Amino acid sequence: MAGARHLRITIGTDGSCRIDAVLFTDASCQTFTKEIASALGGGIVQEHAKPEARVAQRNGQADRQAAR
Amino acid sequence: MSHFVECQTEFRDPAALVAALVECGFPQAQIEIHDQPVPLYGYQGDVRPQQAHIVIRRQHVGPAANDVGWEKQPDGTFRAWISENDGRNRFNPDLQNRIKQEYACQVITRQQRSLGRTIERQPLPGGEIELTIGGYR
Repeated sequence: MAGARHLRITIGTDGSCRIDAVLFTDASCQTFTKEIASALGGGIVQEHAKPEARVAQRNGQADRQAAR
Repeated sequence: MSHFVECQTEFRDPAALVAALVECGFPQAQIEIHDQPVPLYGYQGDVRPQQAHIVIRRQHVGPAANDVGWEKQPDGTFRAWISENDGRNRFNPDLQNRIKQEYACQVITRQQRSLGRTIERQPLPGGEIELTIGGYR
């Protein structure tokens, strides 16, 4: 599914899951990851924006400021 | 916008739980499914105080085994009834974790198929399972 937005779910040997939204460009990814978490039924342990997404946003801001 | 979620798994979907048990080596014909809970029996044929909606009878569990069952709780989750003896033998923590892992695969696969999405399943070297879900519009 290279190039298309998708979810990558890693299910641990104890049944715990990590859900990673890949190539999403809007907030819809939160809806889709929570859809999966709801099916699993055990509650969310942690969630956050991916580090690379935060870096990209910070770089984007820095680029804009540098251009001024 | 990218998002990362870590979450736990609890048994809530009886069909997915039965499918997980089948994947873990119990033939469908050996798994009882009941609308109302039924008694569990011990290795000597004695009635145990526990009841369950999903049951594997002791003759299918192993020598000198007790019935194993999953009872639906008021909050909708299924609680496993596994004797101490069986928890040290066939239903050891490895199998219990394997059932939970397979349940997670089954419940996600069923939900996502019903939504028209594509699913690819791949085992990872460390024993984890990776699902890739596509078809988002």
